[in-house]
Amino acid sequence: MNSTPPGRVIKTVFPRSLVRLGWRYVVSHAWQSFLMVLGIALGVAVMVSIDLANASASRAFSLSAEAVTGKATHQIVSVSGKMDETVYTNLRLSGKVELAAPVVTALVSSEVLGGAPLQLLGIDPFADSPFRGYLGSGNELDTESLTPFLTRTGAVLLSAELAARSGLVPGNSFTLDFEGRTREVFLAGTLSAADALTRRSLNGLVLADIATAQDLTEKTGQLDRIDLILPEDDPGAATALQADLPAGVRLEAVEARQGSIEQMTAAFQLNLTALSMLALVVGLFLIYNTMTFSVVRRRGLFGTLRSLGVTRSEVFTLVISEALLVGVVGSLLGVGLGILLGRNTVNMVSQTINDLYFTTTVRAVGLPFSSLVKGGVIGVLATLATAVPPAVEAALVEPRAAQLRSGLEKKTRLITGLMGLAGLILAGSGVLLFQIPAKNNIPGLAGTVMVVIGFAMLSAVAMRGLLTAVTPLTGRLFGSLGRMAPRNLVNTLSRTAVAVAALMVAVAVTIGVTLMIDSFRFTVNVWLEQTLQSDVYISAPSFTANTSTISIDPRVVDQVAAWPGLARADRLRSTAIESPDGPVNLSATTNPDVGKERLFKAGSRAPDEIMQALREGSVLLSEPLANRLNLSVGDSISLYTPEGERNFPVAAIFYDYASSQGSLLIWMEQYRQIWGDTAVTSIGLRLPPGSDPDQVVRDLQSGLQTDQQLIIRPNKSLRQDVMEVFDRTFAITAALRILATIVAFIGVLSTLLLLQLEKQREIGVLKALGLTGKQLWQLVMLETGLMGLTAGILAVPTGVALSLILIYVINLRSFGWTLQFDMRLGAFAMGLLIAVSAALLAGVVPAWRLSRMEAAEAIRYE
Amino acid sequence: METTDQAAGERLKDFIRLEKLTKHYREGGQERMILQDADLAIPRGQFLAILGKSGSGKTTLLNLISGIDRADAGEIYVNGERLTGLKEPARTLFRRERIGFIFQFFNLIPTLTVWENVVLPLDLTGKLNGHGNERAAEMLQAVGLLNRRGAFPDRLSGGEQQRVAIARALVHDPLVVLADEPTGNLDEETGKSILALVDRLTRGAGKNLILVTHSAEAAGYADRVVTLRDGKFDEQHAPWQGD
Repeated sequence: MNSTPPGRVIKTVFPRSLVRLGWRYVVSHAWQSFLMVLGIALGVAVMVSIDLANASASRAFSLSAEAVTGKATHQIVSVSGKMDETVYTNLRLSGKVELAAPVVTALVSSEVLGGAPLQLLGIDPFADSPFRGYLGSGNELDTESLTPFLTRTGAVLLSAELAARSGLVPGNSFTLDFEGRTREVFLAGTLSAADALTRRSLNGLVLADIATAQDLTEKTGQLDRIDLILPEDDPGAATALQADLPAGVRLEAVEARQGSIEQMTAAFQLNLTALSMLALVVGLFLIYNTMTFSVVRRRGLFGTLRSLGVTRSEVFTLVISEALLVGVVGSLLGVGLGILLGRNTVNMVSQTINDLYFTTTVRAVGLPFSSLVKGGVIGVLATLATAVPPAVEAALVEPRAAQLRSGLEKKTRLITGLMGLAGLILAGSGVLLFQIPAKNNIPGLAGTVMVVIGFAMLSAVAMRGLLTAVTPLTGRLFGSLGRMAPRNLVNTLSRTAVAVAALMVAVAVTIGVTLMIDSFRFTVNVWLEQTLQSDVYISAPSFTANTSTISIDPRVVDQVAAWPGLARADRLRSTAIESPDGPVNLSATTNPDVGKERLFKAGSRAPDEIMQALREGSVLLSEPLANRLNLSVGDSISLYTPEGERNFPVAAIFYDYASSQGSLLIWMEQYRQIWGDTAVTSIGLRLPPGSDPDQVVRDLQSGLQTDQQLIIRPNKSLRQDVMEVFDRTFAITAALRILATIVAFIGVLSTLLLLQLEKQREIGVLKALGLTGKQLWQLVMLETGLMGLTAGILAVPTGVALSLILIYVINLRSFGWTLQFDMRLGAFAMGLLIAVSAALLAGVVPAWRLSRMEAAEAIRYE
Repeated sequence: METTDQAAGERLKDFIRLEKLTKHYREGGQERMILQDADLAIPRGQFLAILGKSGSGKTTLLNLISGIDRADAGEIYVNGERLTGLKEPARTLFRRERIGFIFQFFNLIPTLTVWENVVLPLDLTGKLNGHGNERAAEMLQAVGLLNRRGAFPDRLSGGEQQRVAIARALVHDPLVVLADEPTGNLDEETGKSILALVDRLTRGAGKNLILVTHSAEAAGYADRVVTLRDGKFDEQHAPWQGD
């Protein structure tokens, strides 16, 4: 027999009446539902678009890297960058390695092929198939093409797609640009990839026989590396091989090598992700606000339902289901919108990564599905989590007395103080998090979020204080309406404070990020002024915006040394050097004033002593490198030299903003002696007083005898170029803060529309008493303006705190840069203006709707 | 047949005059008749009580007389002014100058103090000067709440709130005071004292008072009682007036 104990109700199906109730509420409050959906959609869209951009950039890097490394597990590389091809022959002859392939690579471009960077890959077709298989099974290459490819100099292979897009057919000649020089090649044949992934990789490749590649890159008799496939089950094989290698040549695992390169962008991508989450956080404020509002408005209804026997969990489920509906619709829309936004963010992020970190040759990597799923799931879960407190509030409504809102407001007044205290504790805990040392910056970013939310929690108490203080003034200026507006806001703090907090956070981020960017810009300007002391600079064209590592034609170096009318020509060699901590950027200089022309960190020695130490074999480290490797003045940095690992004493640490990987400076003579590399990558010319740099540039452009294309520019132009890259780097940051403000604007609009709902009766009474349309607008605008002003005023200290955190904690931890804090009043004025304008704009619709509302209808309204 | 001059004279004699007033509402897709060709003339200074069942249209009538609502057809004249010919902004200006309102639920503005609520009509019309302040103080004195001038409405009892509403309704010296069930939300004793207060203050100032109620006892204070039934006014003598 089936019996139910008395007092115990078994329900398996959610009552239909409650489903109808919830659905009708969502539909009848279409405006609010729409705004909630929009808030979540925008938040998710921003997050998805940044995730897409990050994932695409990482994938483009992986594919670009895989295109040239293939299935190689290890690589033999030279510490000086040049490896004699006898290393390969000896390796083969020794018989110690079964699978080995020589490789020559370089970045090239060609107008005919679209102008984008392409990877020239020189291979030995007979040894290469186990590694990359471009010429092997699965990919079609006819024997007619193979013959000229192997036998004729200048023969290259392109993917069939790239060749067709460029209008090339086998037999056609075209030119390749390599390090400013033009080389003629011809298309021996085309490669058709078996799968889409290989096709994408192939589209960024120019495949050549190793001899042709050596010829094109002027590396006759030299290799860039030797790829190896070592057996996985024999870990000792690598160690044994390393021991047999000649001096100046090293064996490295491919995974570790790529990992260390990809690691460079990790901080950049993490910071971008954190910033993208901001719009979602602001969107969640909106959800919390609207859901709380809907619960407050329906207290009577929930009380009645509870009286009728609806359980607490059913009330909870009702509210959560409404949030779920909004969350699902909003997240789906957000994912779609994110894909659209992603088109721009992918380009912006790829551009920055190509500018500052590494060149990728693979484009159009497709949308990573995981980004879309991740964005959608986070959107729904975050919405549900945000809806829990209001749902609990609804479930706790007592059946006997549906508490009136005034009761809630009294409770709000009581808890604003406690909330403020909790905010202070949260912000304090956030600051404590900054003290935790960590490999990545997640604790730092979490601390930042805690500080910002802590300040947001202070909004209610600060708002009450500010508005109470301002009431006499607004009363004097605007009479009764001037007294009503601030008091209305204080009386509805349970709702208005959340909207103000959301707007405050968005504006604070705008102020904080603006101050950070301004400070960064200011610092970079000062640094450029100090560092770029030459009047004219000569370098070879490069694919990145970083310091060029492309060698200048030695004939040019000689001609410049003898060029008339120059006070001095300082030469610089920039390259990447192998070290136990991965590749390190090195610059060797002949500038005798370098000890004076850098900004050194406190604790460094006097300029003359620094110069002396530099000449004697010490090195100078840039701040990011010193931070990354945790080195101080007096320590030593270990580098691989052709003679093996060697320690170099650190004489000083200088501020440098050229790259977040950092670099070290060494005296040119020392470098040449140790590494035997005589290349020059940049020349800085000092002119006698009164010379015209532009004229010198023109003379050099027309007078230098070389087949290499060179960039010769005056100091001013170089600075402009650097600042352009700087602004491009921060373009996405600027876009993200605007999006966060838009979401906050929607939050304020939603709040005002909701407040309007419950103010209808009061407005009706005022209309009955003779309130004109103009006065009504005045009242609404005064209220919204005060909300904006409060948000703006609260945003100033929050924004300053945020900028200090960004400058002294996040930037330092993520990129190793110390920035000079540059406080500008413009940022505050802009913040206030954004807050007040957003709030006033958000007030237009409610004011318009209220002004159109018939007084009779309003008075009737219950 | 009435000449134009005669008609104008009638309107002036009858301080408030409703002619063939018609008003319908649409409710749930159905037309609901509130007033149908209703005529009513109210002489200057008269205290008129309008009786009627719930939903008979009493509140709508007050909304029409005050210009809050618009009639579908017919005319309303107040002190010779044709209210039905005015557009919304003009009706608002008319209302704030000439009408005083007392509501069933008091409808004080919760964010304004007692004093600020009372001076609100003066402030809206830009007349909150020295004289206005004196007048407000007089009114609060008259309703016995001058000592509570700094309190907010939620600190007052229902009766006190309604007394503030009475002061607010009279402070700007309106031509007509409209009272919509002013005792409907009060206990019997407080209700009586409120009615007595309204009666004293409006009669004392020679104002017209139109009281909407469904309480015959409340109507007992009036000079004249009409019942709103089926969209028309049913004139009746107050029982205490005899035949």
